[in-house]
Amino acid sequence: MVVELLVETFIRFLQPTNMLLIVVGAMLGMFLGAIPGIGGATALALLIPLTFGVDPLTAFMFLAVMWAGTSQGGAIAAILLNVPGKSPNAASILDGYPMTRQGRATEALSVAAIASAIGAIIGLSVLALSIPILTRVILLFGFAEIFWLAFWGLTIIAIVVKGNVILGLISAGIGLMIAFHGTNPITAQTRWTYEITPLIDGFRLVPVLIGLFAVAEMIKLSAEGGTISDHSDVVELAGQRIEGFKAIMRNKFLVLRSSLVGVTIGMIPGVGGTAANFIAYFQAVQTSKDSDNFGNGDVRGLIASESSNDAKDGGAYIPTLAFGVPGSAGMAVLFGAFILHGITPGPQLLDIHLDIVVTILLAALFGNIVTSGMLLIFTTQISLVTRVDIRVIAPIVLSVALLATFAVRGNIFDVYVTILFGIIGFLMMSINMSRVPLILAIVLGPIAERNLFRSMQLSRGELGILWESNISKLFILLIVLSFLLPILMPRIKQRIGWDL
Amino acid sequence: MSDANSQWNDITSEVWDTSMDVLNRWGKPVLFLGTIVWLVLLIYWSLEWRHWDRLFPILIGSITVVLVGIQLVRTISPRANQLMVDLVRPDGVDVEQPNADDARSEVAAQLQAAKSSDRTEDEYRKGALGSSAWIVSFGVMIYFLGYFYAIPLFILLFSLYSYRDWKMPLILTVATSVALYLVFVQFLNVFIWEGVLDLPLPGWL
Repeated sequence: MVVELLVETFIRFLQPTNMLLIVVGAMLGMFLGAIPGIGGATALALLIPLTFGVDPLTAFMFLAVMWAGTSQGGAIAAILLNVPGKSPNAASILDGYPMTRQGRATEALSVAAIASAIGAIIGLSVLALSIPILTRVILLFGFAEIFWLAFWGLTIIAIVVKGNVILGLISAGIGLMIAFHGTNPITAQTRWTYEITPLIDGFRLVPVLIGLFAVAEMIKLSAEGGTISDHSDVVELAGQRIEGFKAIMRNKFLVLRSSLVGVTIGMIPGVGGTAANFIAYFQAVQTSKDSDNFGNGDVRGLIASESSNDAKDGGAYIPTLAFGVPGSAGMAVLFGAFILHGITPGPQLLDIHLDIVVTILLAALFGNIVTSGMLLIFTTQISLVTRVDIRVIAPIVLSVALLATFAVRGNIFDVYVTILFGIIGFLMMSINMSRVPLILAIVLGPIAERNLFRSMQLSRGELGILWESNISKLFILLIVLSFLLPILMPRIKQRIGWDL
Repeated sequence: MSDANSQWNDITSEVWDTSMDVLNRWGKPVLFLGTIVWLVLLIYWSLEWRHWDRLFPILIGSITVVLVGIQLVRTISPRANQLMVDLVRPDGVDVEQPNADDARSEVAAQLQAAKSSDRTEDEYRKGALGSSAWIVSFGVMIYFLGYFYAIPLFILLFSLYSYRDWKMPLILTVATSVALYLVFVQFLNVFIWEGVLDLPLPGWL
């Protein structure tokens, strides 16, 4: 069935309209990803409302391609400007920028393009291979298991996201309190509507996402002023593309190893792409016999960083699509797109909407290949987008954000929610409070509450249903570990002198 | 590189979220205090609901109040902050604020450099307040004038304020307004808010 769907989706992608959308999505993703500070999640949040009214298959094809493009765009800024376009490209600056300074910018961009494409293929292959297994595993999930799964997602994300237990938990707590606004779908009780009629439906996810990411980033970038390239020494492109191919061939096992690190870390909710990026980088350092040149333009550092970065997306799709637990900010935003289209990611998705999962898988693959090709061919032209002035970007992004928010359901209240959450998001950034737990709490909180209620209804108030199954027990154990690990790990590291 | 190895955890996730301190000395305590007041009010209002409706709001709200309270004490008392750091991280590394070692680490230093801006903290604060004011004003413009008038007006005024020149703002205003009109009205065919003043629109729109 999966193979049939893959063939069917592949043929659909070859239609001229879809091919055009893939190229446009890839270019848009690269453009937005290359602008330092915008980031993939912000770009995705901005474009979600544009897909409203479009059929879900086309919408998710476009979004997945666009998401793939942001990773490549992020590498351009990291390599040419010493500024990661998005956080998971951060390790690419360690060797990518020194390569640029050594007159090897074209080689570095070629390496990034090829390593990213191979990483993505490996990551998405893992996703494709896991679909048949996941379709069986998800049948074991009832209301109680989904409750614990959502609860685990909340705890692990709040704790792991930045290593800051208190601020992470506050962010998640506030997110849950925001999620409780509106009508309880089980009891029909309205909660905290402040006598505002649109709040009977609660805070909608899309305006909150656009506010927290797009608007908040614009406030921050406008406050900083100038252009990002003003602060960096922009070096002219030089070097050979062919050297990039040769470097990849020389380090094919490193590409494979780093991709596997990326896809594995990507599967763990909350650990995030930046962690995958740095872990892959440091495994390259530690497994190299001659590691002295790392940090000074060693192509292996860039290969490790970029292949893991694109491979992690394949892994990150697994918890998001199969279990409804988004593992990162970008995946949480994608979750918002599902909600907008009336689809709930999680155990039912693979059963009812397998076509969408296959579309995302193939679109991500196409997106990575198209963006890698474009990066190889149009290196010079693409690099120009890193010099776009924030004074040009800010009014455009703000106009699109506030218009797109309204377009979703034609309610002016959503525009004010976007502005409110833009300011909240900026305040959170200014106190170093991660916005990711808040978003995930808004997503996962209602899932946890709803499934707990349903479990209780099913068992007529008998609490035993919550720890009856082995899966529930496993999740309870994981939750306990989530709370204990941040406290125990530093002590363990200190005792055994483990570095990293 | 070994320093960098030990610091990767501190710079994972949201690298861009470490910005200049926009809140002054009393800003953070006021923010935390305001959050506590909001949460307490929410809990108070939920007391009259039925058991299942108030269970999670009261539970989560109470825990969050305690956590914000701890953070408030940490913010106003350096001693309490150190006590918390010692309790959670026996190696003395405060995960919230990058310490001197973080700053020395190669990775953190590079990222800090990448994020740095030429603006002073005071200019940054004023810039942030100004940007927030612009966005709120844009919201007000949309409410009264509708999108057809608010978007060109906002882009024109915002870019005039930024550029102090006519050429670029005019190009930006016309190009963005036309592009948004084509995408949202012509292509996506969405309903556009026309504002409470209900100003007349040109016949060709």
